[in-house]
Amino acid sequence: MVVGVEPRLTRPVLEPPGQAMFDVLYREQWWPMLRLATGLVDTVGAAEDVVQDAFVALYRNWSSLRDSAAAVGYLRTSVVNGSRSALRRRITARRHLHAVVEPPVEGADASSVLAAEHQIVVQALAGLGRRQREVLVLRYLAGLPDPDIAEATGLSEAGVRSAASRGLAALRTILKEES
Amino acid sequence: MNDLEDRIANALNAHVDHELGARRPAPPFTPPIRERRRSPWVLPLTAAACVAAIVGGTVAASRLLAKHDDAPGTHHTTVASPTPVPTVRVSDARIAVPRGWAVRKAAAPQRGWGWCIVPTGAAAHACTVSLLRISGAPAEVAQSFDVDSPGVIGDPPQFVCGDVSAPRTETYAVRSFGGQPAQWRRWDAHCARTGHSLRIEQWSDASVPTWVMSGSSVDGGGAMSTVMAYVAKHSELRVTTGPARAMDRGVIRAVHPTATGVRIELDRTVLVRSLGTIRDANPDPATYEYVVPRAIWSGAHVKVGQRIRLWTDGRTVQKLEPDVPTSS
Repeated sequence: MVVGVEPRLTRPVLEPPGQAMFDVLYREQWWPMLRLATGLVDTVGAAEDVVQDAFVALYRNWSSLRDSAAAVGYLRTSVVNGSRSALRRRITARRHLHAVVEPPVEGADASSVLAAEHQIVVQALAGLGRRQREVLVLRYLAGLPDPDIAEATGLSEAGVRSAASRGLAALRTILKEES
Repeated sequence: MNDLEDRIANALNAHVDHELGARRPAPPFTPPIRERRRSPWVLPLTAAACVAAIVGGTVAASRLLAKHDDAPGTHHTTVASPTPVPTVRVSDARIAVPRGWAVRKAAAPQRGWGWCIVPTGAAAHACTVSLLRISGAPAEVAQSFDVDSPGVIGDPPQFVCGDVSAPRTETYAVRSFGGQPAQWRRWDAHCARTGHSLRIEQWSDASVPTWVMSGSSVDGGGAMSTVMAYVAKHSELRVTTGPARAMDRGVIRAVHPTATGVRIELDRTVLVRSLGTIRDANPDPATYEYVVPRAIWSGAHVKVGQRIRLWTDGRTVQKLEPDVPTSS
Protein backbone atom coordinates (compact mmCIF):
# COMPACT_ATOMS: atom_id res chain seq x y z
CA MET A 1 0.00 0.00 0.00
CA VAL A 2 2.68 2.47 0.98
CA VAL A 3 4.52 4.09 -1.84
CA GLY A 4 7.70 5.80 -0.80
CA VAL A 5 11.41 6.14 -1.11
CA GLU A 6 12.28 4.40 2.09
CA PRO A 7 15.04 1.83 2.29
CA ARG A 8 13.00 -1.26 1.66
CA LEU A 9 14.71 -4.61 1.62
CA THR A 10 13.99 -4.97 -2.02
CA ARG A 11 13.37 -8.45 -3.27
CA PRO A 12 11.75 -8.27 -6.68
CA VAL A 13 8.93 -10.70 -7.13
CA LEU A 14 8.83 -10.54 -10.90
CA GLU A 15 11.55 -11.36 -13.35
CA PRO A 16 12.48 -8.48 -15.69
CA PRO A 17 10.20 -9.44 -18.63
CA GLY A 18 7.21 -9.82 -16.32
CA GLN A 19 8.11 -6.62 -14.52
CA ALA A 20 8.15 -4.66 -17.77
CA MET A 21 4.78 -6.06 -18.82
CA PHE A 22 3.35 -5.30 -15.43
CA ASP A 23 4.65 -1.74 -15.55
CA VAL A 24 3.00 -1.13 -18.91
CA LEU A 25 -0.23 -2.69 -17.74
CA TYR A 26 -0.19 -0.59 -14.59
CA ARG A 27 0.32 2.63 -16.51
CA GLU A 28 -2.38 1.80 -19.02
CA GLN A 29 -4.98 0.24 -16.77
CA TRP A 30 -4.74 2.24 -13.56
CA TRP A 31 -7.00 5.02 -14.77
CA PRO A 32 -9.69 2.80 -16.40
CA MET A 33 -9.77 0.66 -13.26
CA LEU A 34 -10.05 3.75 -11.09
CA ARG A 35 -12.99 4.94 -13.18
CA LEU A 36 -14.65 1.56 -12.85
CA ALA A 37 -14.09 1.44 -9.09
CA THR A 38 -15.40 4.98 -8.73
CA GLY A 39 -18.58 3.85 -10.42
CA LEU A 40 -18.90 0.94 -8.02
CA VAL A 41 -18.06 2.46 -4.63
CA ASP A 42 -19.11 5.66 -2.95
CA THR A 43 -15.87 7.62 -2.50
CA VAL A 44 -12.80 8.26 -4.58
CA GLY A 45 -10.58 7.28 -1.66
CA ALA A 46 -12.22 3.89 -1.43
CA ALA A 47 -11.91 3.49 -5.19
CA GLU A 48 -8.19 4.25 -5.06
CA ASP A 49 -7.72 1.67 -2.34
CA VAL A 50 -9.65 -0.94 -4.28
CA VAL A 51 -7.55 -0.36 -7.38
CA GLN A 52 -4.29 -0.40 -5.47
CA ASP A 53 -5.24 -3.68 -3.82
CA ALA A 54 -6.18 -5.11 -7.20
CA PHE A 55 -2.77 -4.30 -8.65
CA VAL A 56 -0.98 -5.67 -5.61
CA ALA A 57 -2.93 -8.90 -5.95
CA LEU A 58 -2.15 -9.03 -9.66
CA TYR A 59 1.53 -8.50 -8.97
CA ARG A 60 1.58 -11.36 -6.52
CA ASN A 61 -0.22 -13.69 -8.90
CA TRP A 62 1.44 -12.60 -12.10
CA SER A 63 3.20 -15.88 -12.70
CA SER A 64 -0.06 -17.80 -12.69
CA LEU A 65 -1.66 -15.70 -15.44
CA ARG A 66 -2.04 -16.95 -18.98
CA ASP A 67 -1.29 -13.63 -20.73
CA SER A 68 -1.74 -9.89 -20.40
CA ALA A 69 -5.32 -10.11 -21.62
CA ALA A 70 -6.04 -12.41 -18.73
CA ALA A 71 -4.39 -9.83 -16.48
CA VAL A 72 -6.96 -7.20 -17.41
CA GLY A 73 -9.77 -9.62 -16.64
CA TYR A 74 -8.10 -10.49 -13.37
CA LEU A 75 -7.85 -6.82 -12.47
CA ARG A 76 -11.47 -6.19 -13.35
CA THR A 77 -12.62 -9.10 -11.21
CA SER A 78 -10.44 -7.87 -8.36
CA VAL A 79 -11.91 -4.39 -8.63
CA VAL A 80 -15.47 -5.71 -8.59
CA ASN A 81 -14.77 -7.97 -5.62
CA GLY A 82 -12.84 -5.25 -3.81
CA SER A 83 -15.66 -2.78 -4.35
CA ARG A 84 -18.15 -5.24 -2.90
CA SER A 85 -15.96 -5.67 0.17
CA ALA A 86 -15.45 -1.93 0.52
CA LEU A 87 -19.16 -1.24 0.43
CA ARG A 88 -19.88 -4.07 2.83
CA ARG A 89 -17.34 -2.74 5.29
CA ARG A 90 -18.70 0.76 4.89
CA ILE A 91 -22.20 -0.41 5.71
CA THR A 92 -20.94 -2.28 8.76
CA ALA A 93 -18.96 0.73 9.91
CA ARG A 94 -21.94 3.00 9.47
CA ARG A 95 -24.06 0.77 11.65
CA HIS A 96 -21.56 1.24 14.44
CA LEU A 97 -21.07 4.91 13.72
CA HIS A 98 -24.72 5.80 13.42
CA ALA A 99 -24.42 8.54 16.00
CA VAL A 100 -21.76 10.49 14.21
CA VAL A 101 -22.40 9.87 10.55
CA GLU A 102 -23.01 13.08 8.68
CA PRO A 103 -24.89 13.65 5.50
CA PRO A 104 -22.62 14.23 2.52
CA VAL A 105 -21.56 17.83 2.11
CA GLU A 106 -21.06 19.44 -1.27
CA GLY A 107 -17.37 19.75 -1.97
CA ALA A 108 -15.76 23.12 -1.43
CA ASP A 109 -14.00 22.62 -4.73
CA ALA A 110 -17.14 21.73 -6.60
CA SER A 111 -16.75 24.30 -9.29
CA SER A 112 -18.93 22.29 -11.58
CA VAL A 113 -21.95 20.58 -10.17
CA LEU A 114 -23.14 17.31 -11.58
CA ALA A 115 -26.18 18.02 -13.72
CA ALA A 116 -29.49 17.29 -12.07
CA GLU A 117 -30.43 14.83 -14.78
CA HIS A 118 -27.27 12.82 -14.15
CA GLN A 119 -27.74 12.97 -10.40
CA ILE A 120 -31.20 11.49 -10.72
CA VAL A 121 -29.92 8.58 -12.77
CA VAL A 122 -26.91 7.96 -10.51
CA GLN A 123 -29.12 8.00 -7.42
CA ALA A 124 -31.56 5.63 -9.07
CA LEU A 125 -28.68 3.30 -9.90
CA ALA A 126 -27.52 3.42 -6.30
CA GLY A 127 -30.94 2.19 -5.25
CA LEU A 128 -30.69 -1.00 -7.28
CA GLY A 129 -29.53 -4.31 -5.90
CA ARG A 130 -25.83 -4.96 -5.91
CA ARG A 131 -25.82 -7.42 -8.79
CA GLN A 132 -27.95 -5.27 -11.07
CA ARG A 133 -25.93 -2.16 -10.29
CA GLU A 134 -22.63 -3.91 -10.96
CA VAL A 135 -23.82 -5.26 -14.28
CA LEU A 136 -25.12 -1.89 -15.42
CA VAL A 137 -21.95 -0.08 -14.36
CA LEU A 138 -19.77 -2.61 -16.16
CA ARG A 139 -21.93 -2.42 -19.25
CA TYR A 140 -22.54 1.32 -19.49
CA LEU A 141 -19.53 2.82 -17.76
CA ALA A 142 -16.84 0.33 -18.73
CA GLY A 143 -18.60 -0.56 -21.98
CA LEU A 144 -17.98 -4.27 -21.53
CA PRO A 145 -19.70 -7.03 -23.47
CA ASP A 146 -21.70 -9.59 -21.53
CA PRO A 147 -19.01 -12.32 -21.52
CA ASP A 148 -16.54 -9.94 -19.89
CA ILE A 149 -19.16 -8.81 -17.39
CA ALA A 150 -19.86 -12.42 -16.59
CA GLU A 151 -16.18 -13.03 -15.93
CA ALA A 152 -15.86 -9.96 -13.73
CA THR A 153 -18.97 -10.59 -11.65
CA GLY A 154 -18.92 -14.37 -11.49
CA LEU A 155 -22.35 -14.59 -13.10
CA SER A 156 -23.27 -16.66 -16.10
CA GLU A 157 -23.92 -14.77 -19.32
CA ALA A 158 -27.60 -15.53 -18.92
CA GLY A 159 -27.39 -14.18 -15.41
CA VAL A 160 -25.78 -11.00 -16.71
CA ARG A 161 -28.56 -10.51 -19.27
CA SER A 162 -31.18 -11.19 -16.65
CA ALA A 163 -29.66 -8.77 -14.14
CA ALA A 164 -29.29 -6.10 -16.79
CA SER A 165 -32.84 -6.53 -17.96
CA ARG A 166 -34.27 -6.35 -14.46
CA GLY A 167 -32.03 -3.43 -13.58
CA LEU A 168 -33.11 -1.48 -16.63
CA ALA A 169 -36.74 -2.20 -15.90
CA ALA A 170 -36.36 -1.02 -12.32
CA LEU A 171 -34.54 2.11 -13.45
CA ARG A 172 -37.21 2.85 -16.02
CA THR A 173 -39.84 2.69 -13.29
CA ILE A 174 -37.87 4.82 -10.86
CA LEU A 175 -37.05 7.46 -13.45
CA LYS A 176 -40.63 7.57 -14.66
CA GLU A 177 -41.73 8.25 -11.08
CA GLU A 178 -39.07 10.93 -10.72
CA SER A 179 -40.28 12.75 -13.79
CA MET B 1 -28.49 1.82 -27.30
CA ASN B 2 -31.92 3.13 -26.54
CA ASP B 3 -32.69 6.37 -24.80
CA LEU B 4 -32.57 4.93 -21.29
CA GLU B 5 -29.25 3.23 -21.94
CA ASP B 6 -27.84 6.51 -23.28
CA ARG B 7 -29.01 8.29 -20.15
CA ILE B 8 -27.34 5.70 -17.94
CA ALA B 9 -24.07 5.78 -19.86
CA ASN B 10 -24.01 9.58 -19.90
CA ALA B 11 -24.87 9.87 -16.22
CA LEU B 12 -22.28 7.31 -15.13
CA ASN B 13 -19.53 8.92 -17.17
CA ALA B 14 -20.48 12.40 -15.97
CA HIS B 15 -20.53 11.17 -12.38
CA VAL B 16 -17.08 9.60 -12.64
CA ASP B 17 -15.68 12.62 -14.49
CA HIS B 18 -17.09 14.83 -11.75
CA GLU B 19 -15.53 12.71 -9.01
CA LEU B 20 -12.14 12.15 -10.59
CA GLY B 21 -11.57 15.24 -12.70
CA ALA B 22 -9.16 15.15 -15.60
CA ARG B 23 -7.15 12.02 -16.30
CA ARG B 24 -4.01 11.76 -14.24
CA PRO B 25 -1.09 9.38 -14.50
CA ALA B 26 -0.86 6.37 -12.27
CA PRO B 27 1.00 6.98 -9.01
CA PRO B 28 4.25 5.06 -8.52
CA PHE B 29 3.65 1.41 -7.79
CA THR B 30 5.77 -0.14 -5.11
CA PRO B 31 5.60 -3.91 -5.31
CA PRO B 32 4.95 -5.97 -2.22
CA ILE B 33 8.28 -7.21 -0.96
CA ARG B 34 7.81 -9.56 1.89
CA GLU B 35 4.87 -11.52 3.11
CA ARG B 36 3.70 -10.73 6.58
CA ARG B 37 5.08 -13.06 9.13
CA ARG B 38 2.67 -12.81 12.00
CA SER B 39 -0.71 -14.34 11.60
CA PRO B 40 -2.58 -11.86 13.84
CA TRP B 41 -1.51 -9.12 11.49
CA VAL B 42 -2.60 -10.85 8.36
CA LEU B 43 -5.94 -9.19 8.95
CA PRO B 44 -6.57 -6.56 6.30
CA LEU B 45 -6.07 -2.95 7.08
CA THR B 46 -9.70 -2.24 6.74
CA ALA B 47 -10.53 -4.54 9.61
CA ALA B 48 -8.49 -2.27 11.79
CA ALA B 49 -10.35 0.69 10.35
CA CYS B 50 -13.59 -0.67 11.79
CA VAL B 51 -12.35 -0.77 15.31
CA ALA B 52 -13.77 1.66 17.77
CA ALA B 53 -12.13 3.77 20.39
CA ILE B 54 -12.29 5.78 23.52
CA VAL B 55 -10.95 8.92 25.04
CA GLY B 56 -12.40 11.99 26.62
CA GLY B 57 -11.96 15.68 26.84
CA THR B 58 -12.66 18.88 25.03
CA VAL B 59 -11.57 20.79 22.04
CA ALA B 60 -8.60 21.40 19.93
CA ALA B 61 -8.16 19.04 17.11
CA SER B 62 -4.66 19.97 16.53
CA ARG B 63 -1.74 20.77 18.76
CA LEU B 64 0.23 21.82 15.88
CA LEU B 65 3.39 23.28 17.19
CA ALA B 66 5.77 24.19 14.52
CA LYS B 67 8.70 26.44 14.50
CA HIS B 68 8.93 27.58 10.97
CA ASP B 69 8.81 31.22 10.17
CA ASP B 70 7.99 30.82 6.55
CA ALA B 71 4.87 32.68 5.67
CA PRO B 72 2.69 31.97 2.71
CA GLY B 73 4.19 33.81 -0.15
CA THR B 74 4.15 33.89 -3.87
CA HIS B 75 1.27 32.49 -5.78
CA HIS B 76 2.05 29.87 -8.36
CA THR B 77 0.11 27.93 -10.82
CA THR B 78 0.79 24.26 -11.18
CA VAL B 79 1.10 22.88 -14.65
CA ALA B 80 1.00 19.20 -13.81
CA SER B 81 -2.71 18.83 -14.41
CA PRO B 82 -4.66 19.93 -17.43
CA THR B 83 -6.71 22.25 -15.24
CA PRO B 84 -4.33 24.62 -13.45
CA VAL B 85 -4.91 24.74 -9.72
CA PRO B 86 -3.73 27.85 -7.89
CA THR B 87 -1.25 27.09 -5.15
CA VAL B 88 0.48 29.02 -2.40
CA ARG B 89 4.09 28.42 -1.50
CA VAL B 90 4.39 27.36 2.12
CA SER B 91 7.96 26.62 3.12
CA ASP B 92 9.15 24.13 0.50
CA ALA B 93 5.67 22.95 -0.47
CA ARG B 94 2.97 24.27 -2.72
CA ILE B 95 -0.35 24.17 -0.99
CA ALA B 96 -3.58 24.34 -2.96
CA VAL B 97 -6.75 25.52 -1.26
CA PRO B 98 -10.30 25.65 -2.62
CA ARG B 99 -11.79 28.87 -3.85
CA GLY B 100 -12.81 31.05 -0.91
CA TRP B 101 -10.11 29.64 1.38
CA ALA B 102 -6.67 30.95 2.27
CA VAL B 103 -3.43 29.80 3.91
CA ARG B 104 -1.94 32.00 6.60
CA LYS B 105 0.63 31.70 9.31
CA ALA B 106 -0.91 30.43 12.54
CA ALA B 107 -1.68 33.29 14.87
CA ALA B 108 -1.73 31.62 18.28
CA PRO B 109 1.69 31.41 19.93
CA GLN B 110 1.49 27.65 20.33
CA ARG B 111 0.99 27.38 16.61
CA GLY B 112 4.11 29.37 15.87
CA TRP B 113 5.52 26.57 13.74
CA GLY B 114 2.57 26.12 11.49
CA TRP B 115 -0.08 27.50 9.24
CA CYS B 116 -3.83 27.62 9.15
CA ILE B 117 -6.20 27.04 6.27
CA VAL B 118 -9.28 29.14 6.82
CA PRO B 119 -12.17 30.65 4.86
CA THR B 120 -11.17 33.98 3.38
CA GLY B 121 -11.93 36.72 5.88
CA ALA B 122 -12.06 34.39 8.89
CA ALA B 123 -11.26 35.83 12.31
CA ALA B 124 -7.60 36.10 13.22
CA HIS B 125 -7.75 33.29 15.76
CA ALA B 126 -9.62 30.93 13.46
CA CYS B 127 -7.79 27.83 12.30
CA THR B 128 -10.16 25.47 10.56
CA VAL B 129 -7.39 23.25 9.27
CA SER B 130 -3.89 23.26 10.70
CA LEU B 131 -0.78 22.56 8.69
CA LEU B 132 2.44 21.53 10.36
CA ARG B 133 5.89 20.94 8.98
CA ILE B 134 8.39 18.94 11.03
CA SER B 135 11.94 19.00 9.76
CA GLY B 136 13.35 16.34 12.07
CA ALA B 137 15.42 18.85 14.01
CA PRO B 138 16.64 17.73 17.46
CA ALA B 139 14.12 19.93 19.27
CA GLU B 140 11.28 18.30 17.39
CA VAL B 141 12.65 14.81 17.88
CA ALA B 142 12.92 15.53 21.58
CA GLN B 143 9.17 16.04 21.73
CA SER B 144 8.58 12.49 20.50
CA PHE B 145 5.98 13.48 17.97
CA ASP B 146 3.81 10.55 16.94
CA VAL B 147 2.14 10.32 13.56
CA ASP B 148 -0.31 7.76 14.95
CA SER B 149 -1.79 10.27 17.38
CA PRO B 150 -4.25 13.09 16.80
CA GLY B 151 -2.34 16.35 16.75
CA VAL B 152 0.99 14.50 16.38
CA ILE B 153 2.72 16.68 18.98
CA GLY B 154 1.66 17.14 22.56
CA ASP B 155 -1.34 15.67 24.33
CA PRO B 156 -4.09 14.50 22.00
CA PRO B 157 -7.31 16.50 21.95
CA GLN B 158 -9.94 15.17 24.26
CA PHE B 159 -13.68 15.21 24.16
CA VAL B 160 -15.32 15.40 27.54
CA CYS B 161 -18.76 13.91 27.84
CA GLY B 162 -19.99 14.93 31.24
CA ASP B 163 -17.52 13.44 33.66
CA VAL B 164 -16.39 10.63 31.38
CA SER B 165 -14.66 10.26 28.07
CA ALA B 166 -16.76 9.98 24.96
CA PRO B 167 -16.38 6.79 22.95
CA ARG B 168 -14.17 7.48 20.00
CA THR B 169 -13.90 5.53 16.79
CA GLU B 170 -10.84 5.62 14.60
CA THR B 171 -10.68 5.08 10.89
CA TYR B 172 -7.36 4.62 9.13
CA ALA B 173 -6.27 4.46 5.53
CA VAL B 174 -3.27 5.18 3.35
CA ARG B 175 -3.90 8.11 1.04
CA SER B 176 -1.90 10.50 -1.08
CA PHE B 177 -1.10 13.91 0.41
CA GLY B 178 0.51 16.32 -1.99
CA GLY B 179 1.78 13.44 -4.08
CA GLN B 180 3.32 11.66 -1.11
CA PRO B 181 2.03 8.53 0.65
CA ALA B 182 0.33 9.59 3.84
CA GLN B 183 -1.54 8.18 6.78
CA TRP B 184 -5.12 9.39 6.86
CA ARG B 185 -7.08 9.13 10.05
CA ARG B 186 -10.43 10.19 11.32
CA TRP B 187 -11.57 10.08 14.90
CA ASP B 188 -15.24 10.42 15.69
CA ALA B 189 -16.65 10.81 19.17
CA HIS B 190 -20.25 11.25 20.16
CA CYS B 191 -21.56 12.24 23.55
CA ALA B 192 -25.04 10.84 24.02
CA ARG B 193 -25.52 12.96 27.11
CA THR B 194 -25.01 16.28 25.37
CA GLY B 195 -25.86 15.18 21.86
CA HIS B 196 -22.63 16.70 20.55
CA SER B 197 -20.15 14.99 18.32
CA LEU B 198 -16.51 15.69 17.64
CA ARG B 199 -14.66 14.83 14.49
CA ILE B 200 -10.91 15.02 14.11
CA GLU B 201 -9.29 14.32 10.80
CA GLN B 202 -5.61 14.13 10.06
CA TRP B 203 -3.31 13.53 7.13
CA SER B 204 0.34 12.91 7.88
CA ASP B 205 3.22 12.29 5.54
CA ALA B 206 5.86 10.88 7.84
CA SER B 207 8.88 11.32 5.61
CA VAL B 208 11.38 14.13 6.19
CA PRO B 209 10.24 16.83 6.34
CA THR B 210 6.99 15.60 7.83
CA TRP B 211 3.80 17.37 6.85
CA VAL B 212 0.71 17.03 8.99
CA MET B 213 -2.67 18.48 8.18
CA SER B 214 -5.38 18.20 10.77
CA GLY B 215 -8.65 19.75 11.77
CA SER B 216 -11.45 19.28 14.23
CA SER B 217 -15.10 20.07 14.16
CA VAL B 218 -17.91 19.86 16.67
CA ASP B 219 -21.26 18.75 15.28
CA GLY B 220 -20.01 18.96 11.75
CA GLY B 221 -16.90 18.24 9.79
CA GLY B 222 -18.08 17.58 6.28
CA ALA B 223 -16.83 20.88 4.90
CA MET B 224 -13.56 20.53 6.82
CA SER B 225 -13.06 17.05 5.40
CA THR B 226 -13.76 18.28 1.91
CA VAL B 227 -11.24 21.09 2.20
CA MET B 228 -8.61 18.72 3.52
CA ALA B 229 -9.25 16.26 0.72
CA TYR B 230 -8.85 19.10 -1.77
CA VAL B 231 -5.59 20.25 -0.20
CA ALA B 232 -4.26 16.68 -0.12
CA LYS B 233 -5.17 16.07 -3.73
CA HIS B 234 -3.91 19.28 -5.34
CA SER B 235 -0.93 20.31 -3.22
CA GLU B 236 2.66 19.44 -4.00
CA LEU B 237 4.89 18.45 -1.14
CA ARG B 238 8.61 18.54 -1.65
CA VAL B 239 10.71 15.61 -2.60
CA THR B 240 11.81 13.80 0.52
CA THR B 241 15.16 15.03 1.78
CA GLY B 242 16.18 11.75 3.36
CA PRO B 243 15.50 8.10 2.64
CA ALA B 244 14.05 7.28 6.07
CA ARG B 245 10.81 8.32 7.71
CA ALA B 246 10.95 10.98 10.38
CA MET B 247 9.14 8.73 12.82
CA ASP B 248 8.33 5.06 12.72
CA ARG B 249 6.94 2.34 14.90
CA GLY B 250 7.18 -1.39 14.59
CA VAL B 251 8.71 -4.64 15.70
CA ILE B 252 12.42 -5.27 15.32
CA ARG B 253 12.84 -8.30 13.07
CA ALA B 254 16.61 -8.38 12.77
CA VAL B 255 19.69 -6.53 13.95
CA HIS B 256 22.90 -6.37 11.91
CA PRO B 257 26.08 -4.94 13.48
CA THR B 258 27.89 -2.25 11.54
CA ALA B 259 31.08 -0.29 12.08
CA THR B 260 29.22 2.57 13.74
CA GLY B 261 26.35 0.78 15.43
CA VAL B 262 23.64 -1.43 14.05
CA ARG B 263 21.29 -1.66 11.15
CA ILE B 264 17.84 -2.85 12.13
CA GLU B 265 15.00 -4.32 10.11
CA LEU B 266 11.73 -2.88 11.31
CA ASP B 267 8.39 -4.51 10.59
CA ARG B 268 6.17 -1.45 10.62
CA THR B 269 2.98 -1.37 12.61
CA VAL B 270 0.25 1.21 12.70
CA LEU B 271 -1.36 1.92 16.02
CA VAL B 272 -5.14 1.94 16.16
CA ARG B 273 -6.70 2.78 19.48
CA SER B 274 -10.16 1.38 19.83
CA LEU B 275 -12.79 1.18 22.52
CA GLY B 276 -10.24 1.27 25.27
CA THR B 277 -8.00 -1.25 23.58
CA ILE B 278 -4.96 -0.75 21.41
CA ARG B 279 -4.35 -2.73 18.29
CA ASP B 280 -1.54 -2.93 15.82
CA ALA B 281 -2.50 -2.94 12.21
CA ASN B 282 0.18 -4.13 9.86
CA PRO B 283 -1.05 -3.27 6.39
CA ASP B 284 2.40 -2.94 4.92
CA PRO B 285 4.11 -6.20 4.00
CA ALA B 286 7.48 -4.47 3.61
CA THR B 287 10.22 -4.33 6.19
CA TYR B 288 12.25 -1.15 6.60
CA GLU B 289 15.89 -0.62 7.41
CA TYR B 290 17.21 1.97 9.82
CA VAL B 291 20.76 2.87 10.74
CA VAL B 292 21.16 3.25 14.49
CA PRO B 293 24.32 4.78 15.98
CA ARG B 294 25.94 2.64 18.64
CA ALA B 295 25.29 5.07 21.50
CA ILE B 296 21.59 5.23 20.76
CA TRP B 297 21.27 1.48 20.29
CA SER B 298 23.08 0.57 23.48
CA GLY B 299 21.09 3.10 25.47
CA ALA B 300 17.72 1.89 24.20
CA HIS B 301 17.90 -1.60 25.74
CA VAL B 302 15.70 -3.19 23.11
CA LYS B 303 16.00 -6.49 21.30
CA VAL B 304 14.66 -8.48 18.37
CA GLY B 305 10.93 -9.06 18.62
CA GLN B 306 10.33 -5.95 20.64
CA ARG B 307 8.13 -3.12 19.50
CA ILE B 308 9.80 0.25 19.35
CA ARG B 309 9.35 3.84 18.23
CA LEU B 310 12.13 5.70 16.55
CA TRP B 311 12.83 9.14 15.15
CA THR B 312 15.32 10.07 12.46
CA ASP B 313 16.74 13.09 10.72
CA GLY B 314 15.86 11.45 7.43
CA ARG B 315 18.91 9.20 7.38
CA THR B 316 20.05 8.12 10.82
CA VAL B 317 18.07 7.26 13.92
CA GLN B 318 18.26 10.10 16.44
CA LYS B 319 16.16 8.54 19.15
CA LEU B 320 14.84 5.05 19.80
CA GLU B 321 12.73 3.70 22.64
CA PRO B 322 10.50 0.77 23.53
CA ASP B 323 6.94 1.48 22.50
CA VAL B 324 4.47 1.32 25.33
CA PRO B 325 1.37 2.93 23.87
CA THR B 326 -1.31 4.49 25.99
CA SER B 327 -4.99 4.44 25.16
CA SER B 328 -5.23 8.20 24.66
